[in-house]
Amino acid sequence: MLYLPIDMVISVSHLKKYYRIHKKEPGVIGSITSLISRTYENVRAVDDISFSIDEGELVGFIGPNGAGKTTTLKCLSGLLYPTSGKVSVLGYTPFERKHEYLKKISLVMGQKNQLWWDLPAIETFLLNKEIYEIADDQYKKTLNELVDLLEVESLLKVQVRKLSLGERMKMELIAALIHAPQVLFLDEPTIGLDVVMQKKMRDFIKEYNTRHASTILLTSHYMEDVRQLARRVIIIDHGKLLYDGKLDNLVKRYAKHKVLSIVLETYVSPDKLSEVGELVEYDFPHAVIRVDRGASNMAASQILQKFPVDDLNIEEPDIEDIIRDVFTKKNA
Amino acid sequence: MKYVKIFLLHFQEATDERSRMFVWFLISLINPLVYLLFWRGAHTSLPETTNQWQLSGFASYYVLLILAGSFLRVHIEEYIAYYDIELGYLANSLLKPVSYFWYQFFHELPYRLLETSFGILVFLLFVINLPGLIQLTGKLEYILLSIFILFAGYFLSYLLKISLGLSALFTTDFRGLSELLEVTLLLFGGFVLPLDLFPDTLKQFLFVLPFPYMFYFPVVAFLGRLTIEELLKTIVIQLTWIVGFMILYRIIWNKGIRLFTGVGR
Repeated sequence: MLYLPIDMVISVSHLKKYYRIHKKEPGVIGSITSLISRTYENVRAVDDISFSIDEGELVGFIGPNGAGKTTTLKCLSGLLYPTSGKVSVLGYTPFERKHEYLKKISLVMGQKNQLWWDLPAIETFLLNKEIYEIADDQYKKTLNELVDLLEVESLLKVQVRKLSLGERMKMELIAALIHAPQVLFLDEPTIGLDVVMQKKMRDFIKEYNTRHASTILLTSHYMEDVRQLARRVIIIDHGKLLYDGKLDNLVKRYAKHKVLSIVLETYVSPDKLSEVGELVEYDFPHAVIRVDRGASNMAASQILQKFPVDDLNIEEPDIEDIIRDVFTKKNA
Repeated sequence: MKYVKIFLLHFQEATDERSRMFVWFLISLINPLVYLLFWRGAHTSLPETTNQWQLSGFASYYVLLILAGSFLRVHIEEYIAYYDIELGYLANSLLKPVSYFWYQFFHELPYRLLETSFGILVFLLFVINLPGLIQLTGKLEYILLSIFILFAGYFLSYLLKISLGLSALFTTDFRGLSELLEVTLLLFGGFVLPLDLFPDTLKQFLFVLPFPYMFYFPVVAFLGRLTIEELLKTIVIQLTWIVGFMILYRIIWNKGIRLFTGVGR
């Protein structure tokens, strides 16, 4: 068991995870050739990343498909053996998968379920009670709290196969949290859910983090999840860490533009609007113009003077756009 | 307690899947029945040595083989290879404070017990309709040793199948290995004919292998065809193979789990 600085729950140092994959030329000739001689390639799923997370932090882990987010979460939870580097969670080395460690963490994968398909979800919770050796009163207390928060009391005794996707996801969360883990790894917890259910999930995660001061590392393709939940984000791409810091700072650091959102009183030609900045969108009476960050005030005053404006807002660009810019610049 | 809960939950699941289980039972039922019919027609023209078995001997052997097939033929390997490894659900077990080995043991046991209950019905049908045909050992010490051999056979069969299932961590074609093993079990486990009828040299070779100790010896032990010395020798060999398979399982698990990606191979 390693000893981490007080408050530090997760420590990752120069983590690497490489996979060896077999490559085959197309067609029958390729198949025959691969019978005799195979070519392999090392895929660098995670390539020398380091970060640490303190107790109670809720961190958004973002990146495009294949960036290495899920691989990192799997290394942290103990599912995967790192190729090299050091990983410590709560002072444990995850891949040793000690039972004391597994009782303190949980990994929820949006596309994998642990619920028993043919039985009501309550059976899985009872099984987890035994597996995690949870005392009766603690089990009842945690279950009641989670059931209340997620509003699923009427569904506990319904066969899992009869539940909707959103209902199942709620039950998955209960199954993952019934042992009150100190560290929670959430891999795409809102994937496939409709917007209403996504919001409910987000509210739940936020509330859970506040109530229990649990440390949460969250990956999601939905930026709204990250925006609503995480103050700190870690961005990775092609296995490399691109950014680690506050979400606000990301905007300041990478957003070179601001966006002027205008509602016009009368029609103005697009050419005229383009004189102020880059016309991103125009559907009269709404227009969106992108201008340099430092020139936004001047551009706003210019618009007010030159055009019949009903309303004008200076906004930060969408976080998705900023992150796309980060990836584009990195890959350029 | 956790393993009792695992057992009970899988028992619930197994009872829910009774039609699927019945189909599996038919596989255990049909093979011995076909061979029994064959020997019924053939026994009159058998050479003297084979005739030692007599019709009641064959009948007892194959009827017990129905029971042995239901209980001892563990079918965990496909579940492990496909569901746990190909689809990646092994992740659920790896992330829980529970032993995978015992989890799968108590996952499979209810299925074996329920299938055996079908086998017992068939056995009783034979006993009631053809009284005196089935002859089993009646001596207590023989029965106790036979029970031990039965459970050791089960454990051996389980160890072989869990190791086979986990071999999917290393290979993209688990089925080939699985089919090969099934054929080997049919021949050398005693499903086609009593291994006693094999030529002596082949028999000596077969009795070193683990396969007869999973099915054949538990059956002939209950038939009373083994002396006390032979029963004890069977137990020693079974225990030796269990230790060997435990080592094999540990090696496969420790090396294989490092290759697991959590999303399939």
